[in-house]
Amino acid sequence: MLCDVCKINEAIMFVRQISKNKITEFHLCKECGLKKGFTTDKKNEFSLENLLSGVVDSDTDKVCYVCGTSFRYIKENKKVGCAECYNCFEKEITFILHSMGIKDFYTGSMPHKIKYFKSTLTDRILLQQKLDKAIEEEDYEKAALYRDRLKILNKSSIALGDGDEE
Amino acid sequence: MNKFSSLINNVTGPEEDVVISSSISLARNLVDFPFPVKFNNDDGEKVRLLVFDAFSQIKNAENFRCVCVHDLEPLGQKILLEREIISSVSFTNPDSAIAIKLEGSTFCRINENDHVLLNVTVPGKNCKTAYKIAKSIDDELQQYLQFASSVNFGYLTSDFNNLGTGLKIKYKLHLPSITRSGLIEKVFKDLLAQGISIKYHHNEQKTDFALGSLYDISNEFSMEGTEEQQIQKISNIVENLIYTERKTRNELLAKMPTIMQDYVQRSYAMLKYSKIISYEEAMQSLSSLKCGVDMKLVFGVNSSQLYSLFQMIQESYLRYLLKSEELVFEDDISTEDIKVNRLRSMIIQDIISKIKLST
Repeated sequence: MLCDVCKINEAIMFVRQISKNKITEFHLCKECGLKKGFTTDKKNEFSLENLLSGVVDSDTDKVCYVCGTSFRYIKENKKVGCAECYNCFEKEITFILHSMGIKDFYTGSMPHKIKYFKSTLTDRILLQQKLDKAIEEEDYEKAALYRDRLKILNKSSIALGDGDEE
Repeated sequence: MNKFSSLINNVTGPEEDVVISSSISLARNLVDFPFPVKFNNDDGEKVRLLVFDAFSQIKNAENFRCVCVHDLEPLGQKILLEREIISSVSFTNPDSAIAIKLEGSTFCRINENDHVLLNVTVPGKNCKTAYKIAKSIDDELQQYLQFASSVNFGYLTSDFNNLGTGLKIKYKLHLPSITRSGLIEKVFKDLLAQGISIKYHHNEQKTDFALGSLYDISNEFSMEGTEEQQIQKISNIVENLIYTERKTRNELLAKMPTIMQDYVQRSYAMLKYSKIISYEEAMQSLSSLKCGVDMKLVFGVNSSQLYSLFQMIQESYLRYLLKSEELVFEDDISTEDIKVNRLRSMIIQDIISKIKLST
């Protein structure tokens, strides 16, 4: 098959571009491909790989402060580790969603009870850390206090937060 | 010999010549725990207990049975896998469980990719009803569980595909005419462009063609629009597919009546006179027979009976029947593998015994 651009050379790559409600397909030879910026050379800032991953220069080593999931993992797998990741990487995730073609604001339904948005997930993890530290320092009075609060948090299925309940 | 007909499900649904079933699933996560991939210590067990507890408190709670996937015997696990009630992901988590209604059309996967995945399946093209049922259970669960959400992203899920409403709409379609006429490639392209995913059904077996011309069609993302708009969008697309399938079917029948008759009757002969039949062979032939029913070349059996046959002749379920029923086989049918294939043909022949061919 001949290249769709110069119509002289044999095409060596096949590009399918998917945008909203439309698919464009074209075949390119090596030269025309390079001119359009399709190359697999990683050093090239505009290589195919970088182009497709969307974010050219971002902090991929950042991790979620609750579950420790790295941004690299999120970007590669399109998956997160916990609900707080959405808070922690809000900008980055919005960017990834854009690159996946999701640009609209969310308009669907929400849970019936939306309390002050502070989950006990963060509380629990912080408390657990404090508890571990207290035990390490052999401060058992404090440790007992933390343990009791943890127990209460572990039992509640609905976040109590600090806000008013409706 | 006639006892197999009692196992056949006879519930019919709208547009059932093309749409086998519609299902709705809702992905939800509890606020206070990391997602299943990041579970620490006993997080999984706590989530499981909280969700079991919520299921025990909802209306008609006695209809739901809650079980851990790992407590089931291997054959039971395989049957659930075959019927898509659990997925292979469920085995990776020691705390994965299901809450399931006894008739099996409504179930909830616990600790799979998300903490809660509620699923409702109804026969025919009827997603609105399925959504109503799913939403009412979701509403009840929300009285006992706080689900994670944010203003920007809606319900928070582990996978970006479900983010937003958490809603996955899936139609299971039977498209023999579109497949046969070669239009299916165009359908794949068109759907891809509209953000709709189409897959061969029974993908676990990794065939490179659609076994029995069965396809699963679902929305790729759950972010854009409200739940109703998402359902409407995919329903319109399915509506178009139904139209195309029927049109192609009539065209095939008008242009090549003898070839179509040969296609259907050959399959019928295979099903009626074989003694030992494999799953793949049976599925292909049943699919052609079903095509014959739609073309009015075959009478005496209806679509929903054939659809339940699709499900009944699967490997693990037949093994279960072998174990639990007292069945008598010929002397040379001795190993379990051959018994499964023999039993498959016995069941099929029982169901299709009343079939008449048009001349």
